[in-house]
Order: sequence, then C-alpha cells, then structure tokens
Amino acid sequence: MKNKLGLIATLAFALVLALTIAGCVASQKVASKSGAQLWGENCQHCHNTPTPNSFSGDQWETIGMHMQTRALITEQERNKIVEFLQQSAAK
Amino acid sequence: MKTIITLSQKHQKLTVFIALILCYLFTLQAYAQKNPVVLDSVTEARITALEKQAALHRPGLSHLMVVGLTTFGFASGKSTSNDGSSPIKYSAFGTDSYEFSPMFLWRQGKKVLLEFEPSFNNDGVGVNWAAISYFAKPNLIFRGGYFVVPFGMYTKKLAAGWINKVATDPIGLPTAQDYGFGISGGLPLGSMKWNYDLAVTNGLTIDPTVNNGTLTNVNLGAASRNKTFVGRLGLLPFSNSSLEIGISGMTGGVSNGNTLYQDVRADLYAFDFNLVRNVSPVQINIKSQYNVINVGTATYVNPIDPTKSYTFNNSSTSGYGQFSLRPIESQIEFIKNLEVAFRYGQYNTPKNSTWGSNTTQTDFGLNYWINWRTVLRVTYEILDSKSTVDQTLFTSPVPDVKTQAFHIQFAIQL
Repeated sequence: MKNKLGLIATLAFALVLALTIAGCVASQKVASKSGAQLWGENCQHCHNTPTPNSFSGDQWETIGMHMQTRALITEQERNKIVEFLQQSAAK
Repeated sequence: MKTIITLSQKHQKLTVFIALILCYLFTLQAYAQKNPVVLDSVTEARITALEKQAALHRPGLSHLMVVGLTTFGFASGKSTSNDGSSPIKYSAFGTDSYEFSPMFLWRQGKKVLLEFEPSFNNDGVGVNWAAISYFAKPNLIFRGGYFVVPFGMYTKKLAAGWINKVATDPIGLPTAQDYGFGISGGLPLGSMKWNYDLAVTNGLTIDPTVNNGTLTNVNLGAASRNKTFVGRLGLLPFSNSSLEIGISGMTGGVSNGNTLYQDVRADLYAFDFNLVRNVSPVQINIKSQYNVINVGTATYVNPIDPTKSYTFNNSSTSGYGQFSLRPIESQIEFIKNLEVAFRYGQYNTPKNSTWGSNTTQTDFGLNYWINWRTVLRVTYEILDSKSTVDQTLFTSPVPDVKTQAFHIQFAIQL
C-alpha cells in the first residue's frame, strides 16, 4: 500500500513537473532581451563577465553548452549570449 | 492622332532594340557556357590553395577545447588550544589553496557535451568531473557519469578559485561529487526564471574507516541497492536575473551493505541565496547557504572499550553568509579592480559524538582583479572551534582550538 502511494505520488509529481515545464514561457519583456543584455546580467551572477575576445566563435559555442549545464540558463538565453559573443569576438 | 502614331513607332523601335539586346545576352551566355573562362595555372593554383585553407578553418561538428583553472597560494597561521600546550605555528605554499584542474570540453554537434576535469590539489590527483550531457530538449538535459551533486549552490557554481571571493571554502559543506544520472534545465516563467537539477547517485554511507557516524561517498564501492536521490530547485524572481534562491534535498540509505546500519538513512536539505546587483557606483554581491544533515540513530563501538557502544543524535548544521563589494564605476583603474569581501560561517557537528564541535569561520578578504578571470587575493581567516564531544570516549580531554591564518592566493581560469 505504501509503495503504491509512493508510486502515485511520484507519477503525480512527474505529471505536474512535465505540465509546468511545457507551460513555461517568457514574458515579452524577457523574450525581447538582446544577447548583450543577457550576457551582462547572467554571467556576473556567478563570476565576472567575460570579454568576447577571450575565446573564438567555435569555442564560445562549446562554452555556451558548458555554461548551460552549470548555470542552468535557458536555451534561448544561451543562444543569444553565444551569438553576441561570437559576433563581438569576430570584430 | 499624330502623337499616337509617333509613340507607337517609338514603341516598335524600343521593342526591337530590347530584343536585340536580349539576343546578344543569350548568345553571350551560351558562348560562356560552351567556352568557360580559362584561368591561367597560377590563378588556379592560388584558388585551390585558398579553398584548402578555408576547408581547414571550417568548423566541424566536433569541437574539443581545454579550459580549467589553477589556484596557487601561500598560507601562514597559528593554532592555539585551551589545553595549555604551546601554539602551533605553520606556513606553507599551497596549503588549502593549491589546485591545477584542466577541463576538457568535447562537444559533438549541438546535442552532446563531454566534460572531464582531472585535478591535482591538496588531496593529490583526482577527478572533479567526468560526465556526458545530452541536450534532449531546450529545457531538458540528461547527464550521466561523475559530477558535482546538485545540492546547494556553492559547490557546483561558486567553488572555483577564480570565482570564490576568499581563499578558502566555507566550512561544513556536505558531499561534493558522486557517480550517477540526472536531469536538469532552466526555464522561463513569465518575467521570472526557474531551474531544476535532479539526480540519483550511489550516495552516502557511514564512513567504514572510522565508524563514528560521519558520512562519506560510496563512490564505485556500492555494496547495496541503496541509492541517494538529490535535487535542487532554483528560482530567479527578478527579470534581470540578479537574485536566485534555491532549495535542495538529498535522501538515501547509508548502510552500503553494513547490517549494523541497514535501517539508517540520511536526510539533508539546504537553502541558498545569491544576489548580485550593480548599484552605482558599486557592485554588491551577497551569497549564502544553509545546510542541515540528519542521519538516523545508530550505535557505534566505544573507541576506548570495544565491548561497549554509544549513540548520539547525529544531526549537523552548517551555513555561511558572504558579502563583497567592488567599485566597478571608479575612474581609477586600480580602484576599479579592487574588491573587499567578508564571510562568516558556522558548523555545528553532533554533540556527544567523537567529532562534536561548534565552529565559527570568519574571513576578511581583499581581492585585486588583474582581468575578468585572474585574481590576486589576500584573506585573513579565524577558525574558532569549541569541542562538544563526549569526553568519556577519549583518554585525554579534547580541547577547544582557535586558528588564525593569513592567505595569499593567485587564481586564474585557464
């Protein structure tokens, strides 16, 4: 009985989590943020903001994925930040 | 009428002219296709060489790079105890602050990332991280391998020497890395954000080398089916991501096959807080984490008389609060690169155990940022430990100890 309750609770939690995840959307204000703004806001949350020319464009792509696993930024944020850093690094 | 005739004649002439031009262009194109432009051998060789050069620099689907970190330092300190013995003075390079950890990041396309971080530090050679991540969905990453468990914020995000604000780690942080499998992701929530990081790992066990109720990682020596479930939920309530608050939990059996502890479980939870705000002309940085470790009741062998046993309430708490300030808008470059930091921590281990104590940790730090990832820092630290052990478990009294140390540290992200 206890195991069944545990299973039901786990399934209910998984369902709520899945629905929550599926329903998560950014507000207009957040969605319209530029890569430069997100770079300034998110990086300093843990460490100093990196200069774009610290790495090459290809390296920023890899570091972007690495940072998504560590800081758990959203994928949209990662893409915008990486694009900004790649463009700035190329200048 | 005359005007209309004139226009019509002009039209005809224009049409004939355009037709002739088109015929000429078509003929030219047909000729060009039949007789392509012949390049001289020097130009051809140059083009081939450029094409080869371009191919060399074209990004592939795989990408391997090395980042990482190193910290290097010197510590000098004095340790005094209340048992009447002489103070112990020490000074050493690398003490408590040496680490060389290259990190290999290997990306396969946009879905797979391997992270491997071997480390040479105060404990010798080890591995900090060896995991593979699969980016399944925009908000879902699967991870497997050896990784820092998602418990609290400090260990996973803030522990690196070039990120930390003082030379040492806060006291009393629970387990760091473990083998396991997990899922994580970050998601928008209107103007807020939230993130989740959940894992199942080999987990914890009562340390079999001392058998006094302290916990250690099972690592690869898992001798039972007990697994530990661990996770953290984070919320960033402001749209500028300046604040993150997190709650973590960890639970699992700690017997690892030892029948003495087969019903003993460990339940841990933590709260963390991270605020970084630029309030002109300074940057304010406040970080904090509070941890609770509860281990179920068990009996342990008396270290003085093995025929007897003893027990205690195996509950520990730890926490720290850290404040740092940097004048980021100063016109003077030297001042702009300075940062002052203060941290206060407390770690209370179980009373009447063989390792019971109430310890406070106070740190004063001054950092100079050479660039965004390189820092030179000095830290003065006071560790004040009051023993709460059961003195009957020892042949001689366990004293209170106070340590004062001065650290100079250089840290860089590679």
